[in-house]
Amino acid sequence: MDYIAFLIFLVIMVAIAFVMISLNWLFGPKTPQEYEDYPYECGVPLYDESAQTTFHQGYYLLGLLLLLFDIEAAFLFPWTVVYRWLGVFGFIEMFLFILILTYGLLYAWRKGALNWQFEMEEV
Amino acid sequence: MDIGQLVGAIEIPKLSRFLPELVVLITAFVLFTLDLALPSYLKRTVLPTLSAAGYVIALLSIWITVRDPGDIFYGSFTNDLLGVVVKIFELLIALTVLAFAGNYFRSKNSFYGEFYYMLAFTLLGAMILASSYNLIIIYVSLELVSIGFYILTALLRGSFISKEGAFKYLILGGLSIALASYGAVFMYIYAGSLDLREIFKYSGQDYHYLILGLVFFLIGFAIKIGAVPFHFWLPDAYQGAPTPVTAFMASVGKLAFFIPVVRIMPLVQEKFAFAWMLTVGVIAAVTMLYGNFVALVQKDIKRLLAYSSVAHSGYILAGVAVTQVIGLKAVIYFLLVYAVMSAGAFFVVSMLERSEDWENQIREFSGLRFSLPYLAFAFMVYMFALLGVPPTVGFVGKTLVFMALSFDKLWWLAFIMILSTAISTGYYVRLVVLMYMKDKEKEISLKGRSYAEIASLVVLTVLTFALAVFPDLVWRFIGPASETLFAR
Repeated sequence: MDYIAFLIFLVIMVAIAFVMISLNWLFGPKTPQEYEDYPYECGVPLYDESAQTTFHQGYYLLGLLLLLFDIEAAFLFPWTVVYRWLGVFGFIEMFLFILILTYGLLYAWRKGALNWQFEMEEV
Repeated sequence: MDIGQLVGAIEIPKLSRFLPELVVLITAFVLFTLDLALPSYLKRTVLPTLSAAGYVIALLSIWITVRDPGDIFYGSFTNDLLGVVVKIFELLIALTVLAFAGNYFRSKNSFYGEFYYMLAFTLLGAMILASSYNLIIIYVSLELVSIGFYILTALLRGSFISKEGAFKYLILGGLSIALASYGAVFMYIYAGSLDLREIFKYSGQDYHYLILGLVFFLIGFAIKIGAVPFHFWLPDAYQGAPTPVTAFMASVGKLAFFIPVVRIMPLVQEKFAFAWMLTVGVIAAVTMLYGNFVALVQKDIKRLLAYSSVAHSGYILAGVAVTQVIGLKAVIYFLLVYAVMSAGAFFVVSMLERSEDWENQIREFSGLRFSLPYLAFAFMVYMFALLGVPPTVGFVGKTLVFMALSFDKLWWLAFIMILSTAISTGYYVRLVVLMYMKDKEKEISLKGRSYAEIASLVVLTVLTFALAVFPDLVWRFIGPASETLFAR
């Protein structure tokens, strides 16, 4: 029962919000606009009419590569903080880690994931 | 703890205990680099040769590893006799996979350099999984094996069912790994340790976390080994995968996914002997019956063998249910010999698939002995071994499991096992009858048989007999291995 005040407060809060919104809806002027329901996409006209289109596979590869180097950075920051104590051991461990990541980038490069000039008619 | 102390505790690992894995790891990276660097026509000869060389060196290096048992990497990697035996079989089967894969992919016109290093990485995961008690190492190597399998399953150019199988495997495999790691979390909460041995040695007041963790952990593994309520991905993945990969999944995959369960088994039985016996027993019974009944109505040979693989998971699980040391021995023996016979059966199918208009239907086996007498004989041997006819390993394996069940007076499970073996006669013997007693339906001719393939088939066929007639070949390792596991 100690928290009954909070409960009352919550009820009042919800009630006020509800009343405000309904008043707005009741008395507000209704002038329809052409672009009211138009989705916002960085201020440019939409490329596709609906969201249910397929993306080119390249976008997903790009996303994966981004993730690869994001995670690399996330691991590098704590390493730099304790680098002084870790010494040679830390250097070798991190070298191996970055080497493996570089292999990932090499793979993407050799298999053509970095060619971003897609042939649009293939899509 | 201060970070200086932590760094001071760093030790140089005794890499001689990790040698086979290290060799396979280096092989995998070399293959990866060469796949990126070499031109395509060189890759087709260099990659298989190099992988074979790497696996042979790894096999030889086991001579050094076996003399030096113990833990390395702060107890997270255990080099013991069980791990060594399993690794020998895994490496041998990986070598035979290489022998068949080249010709198979050539006939399907689908060469990927990825196949060779994904095979090596998967093998590495399977080898690490075979010798670890550490929850994190188990998790990471489980991921390594599974991701390798997803990719290998999809490596068939222009095949829809290959992609479908890979995708189903990916979804359910992801679920299984999520469950297993969730269970691992609860076990860690219970004991505050990542080492399975320490988790079970710890006697806390509250068992709830341990039970919850074990249930999740084992459900995760049950999905991987294809025990029945969780087997849905298995037939699709086995059917869709390129057949040498299916052989690899059915043999090395099954070994790898079963070994952690085998390692947990004596530890759990100390605490929950009866509950363990009942749960695993019921799952085993359902798995055996379901797998065999469904296999009876299959038309596709790969699906049939996949359901037979489900049924064999059941037989092995029946051995896992036993709470005596004989159960452990039976399970390890059955696992090793199942790897040999299932790999052999799938290899024969992969050779047949190279024929012009082969559609993987069972009726196409009709009169196979006229066109390909030696291959038909090999297939008959594997069918009889999977069924459990006396001079083959299947018989010894099933007898051992039956004996183990009798030690624990699990007569109902033993009865179901015999019943389901009787059911399985229906499809194994039908294949033999088709091959040997029916007329030839179509002309089957194989192009370009290589000596490596013939040699591997001969080795596997000889092993199918030899491990049954002279079980001491593996028994001398299995005996002490299970005694040490049970002593903990």
